[in-house]
Amino acid sequence: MANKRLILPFYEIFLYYQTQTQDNLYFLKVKKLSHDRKNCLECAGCVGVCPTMALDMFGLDLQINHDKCNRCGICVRACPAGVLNWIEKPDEK
Amino acid sequence: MKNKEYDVIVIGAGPGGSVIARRLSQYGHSVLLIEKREQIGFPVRCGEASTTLEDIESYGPIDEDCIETIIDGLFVYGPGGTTVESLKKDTGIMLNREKFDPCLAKLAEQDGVELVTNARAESVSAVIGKFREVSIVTPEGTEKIKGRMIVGADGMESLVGRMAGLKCLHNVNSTCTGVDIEVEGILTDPRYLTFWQGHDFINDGYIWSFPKVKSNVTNFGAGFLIPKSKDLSIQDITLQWLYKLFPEAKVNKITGGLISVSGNLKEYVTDRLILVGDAAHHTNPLTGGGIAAAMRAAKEGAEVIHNGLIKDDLSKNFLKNYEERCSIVFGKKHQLLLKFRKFLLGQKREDQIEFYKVIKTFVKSNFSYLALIKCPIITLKCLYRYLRSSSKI
Ligand SMILES: Cc1cc2nc3c(=O)[nH]c(=O)nc-3n(C[C@H](O)[C@H](O)[C@H](O)COP(=O)(O)OP(=O)(O)OC[C@H]3O[C@@H](n4cnc5c(N)ncnc54)[C@H](O)[C@@H]3O)c2cc1C
Ligand code: SF4
Ligand code: SF4
Repeated sequence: MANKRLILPFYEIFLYYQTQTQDNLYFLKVKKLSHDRKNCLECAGCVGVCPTMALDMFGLDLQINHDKCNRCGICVRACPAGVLNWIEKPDEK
Repeated sequence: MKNKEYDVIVIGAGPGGSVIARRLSQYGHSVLLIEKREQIGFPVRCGEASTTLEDIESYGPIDEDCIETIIDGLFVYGPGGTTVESLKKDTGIMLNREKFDPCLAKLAEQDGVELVTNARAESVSAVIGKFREVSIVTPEGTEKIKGRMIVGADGMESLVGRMAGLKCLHNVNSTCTGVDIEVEGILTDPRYLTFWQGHDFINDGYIWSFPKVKSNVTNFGAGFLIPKSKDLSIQDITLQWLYKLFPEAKVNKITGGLISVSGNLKEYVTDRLILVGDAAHHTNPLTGGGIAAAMRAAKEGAEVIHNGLIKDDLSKNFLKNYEERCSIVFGKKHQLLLKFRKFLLGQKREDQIEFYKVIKTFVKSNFSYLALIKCPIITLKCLYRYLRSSSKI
């Protein structure tokens, strides 16, 4: 655990300070972007600000390429409906 | 796609894309227009206020249904109870973009453009000989189509430019996010576009209320710079303002989107590719309006591409001509407005109130500078602040 804390990059620490009130465990967990499709305005605003081109809309569906996402959080800030959020990454592998 | 090769491939069937496609087809080139959404113009991401009827109609015979209201002026609620009222016949119109965008696309189709919806440009290749290859994803599969010239009119997503290596990512510090709420009935004076701006309302942007008289609804919305952190979503903030100003309001639907307010991009052409409209950040940096600029840029772009296709020169150097033209027709004006916005938003509340008073006198006297002599001290103060702030930017 202690090691993991040391290698956390800057943006994670930044995000931690932003969200620590909600969830203290946040810091040590790897986060994954989640999208609430039901309340999405389908405006594609998040696509336009994503610096890594991790997001794209096809039809009216938002596709998130989690491997490309560098978790900068810009899309979360820019989303007018507030439907992009961080969730704890489920153990896939 | 009927063919494997086109003179021009236009990506995105918004106002910019449809206008440029139609014009190029009228010049006799083969044009493919692709749109990734199933239904053109839906969902609408816009407040729908635009320039004069005359200007809009210069782009082709628009259906009457597309025009909702003829606007005769502006009404601005500023900070500290100041108001600015500007009455001028036919200042602009309210569009119905659910009808307007398809109408423009239909006009393009009638003039020979091949329009394919549900088709998304996934990647754009580098220049290969005299072509660029666009890989297009449709429900049937992926196809690679060659175009001698590519036009990226893909709106604020601006992915096409990035695929071709242009730096058109929206800068977080000079981009607004906005929400537009369709409210039943007409909330404000139907002749005016009404705004709320300044420290008492929203300082990083403004709140708007635009009447759509034919449909008997109002576009109420707000747009402001992307917040540094996020407690409330922009949608929630806009809804809060709506209920504060109009407690009885009945919401029909909500849309939103990004609005670039950075002024024209430094560079939005490269070999065999140009960007048009929101993709090139052609929006007005003060108001966030971009329909008129997108269509105007499309007109200039079509002429330059036509010349290029005839001369068989579509190099970056030749296409720079398009950038220059855009800079002349609206780019320089947008630079000035950008400075003005930075000045206005940078003011403290008291200074902003003074400034609003000067504007009010100026507008009331029918834009005569003589009237400003009546209040010389505030005017000079504001002028001094403006010059100081614009020298910094
Ligand atoms: C909340 C809000 C309010 C606004 N209010 C106003 C206003 O009151 N007045 C005004 O003048 N302007 C307003 N604007 C700005 C205006 O909507 C845009 O400037 C205008 O739509 C730009 O037109 P465009 O043709 O460049 O792009 P768009 O209209 O955005 O069209 C781009 C099209 O390209 C498609 N596309 C994107 N990527 C691909 C791809 N890879 N493949 C295929 N197709 C693709 C999209 O689906 C879209 O249909 C507002 C914007 C917002 C977000
Ligand atoms: S967090 Fe950053 S990199 Fe990841 S999808 Fe959002 S904008 Fe893109
Ligand atoms: S910015 Fe938010 S509301 Fe808009 S498409 Fe992305 S997730 Fe949906």
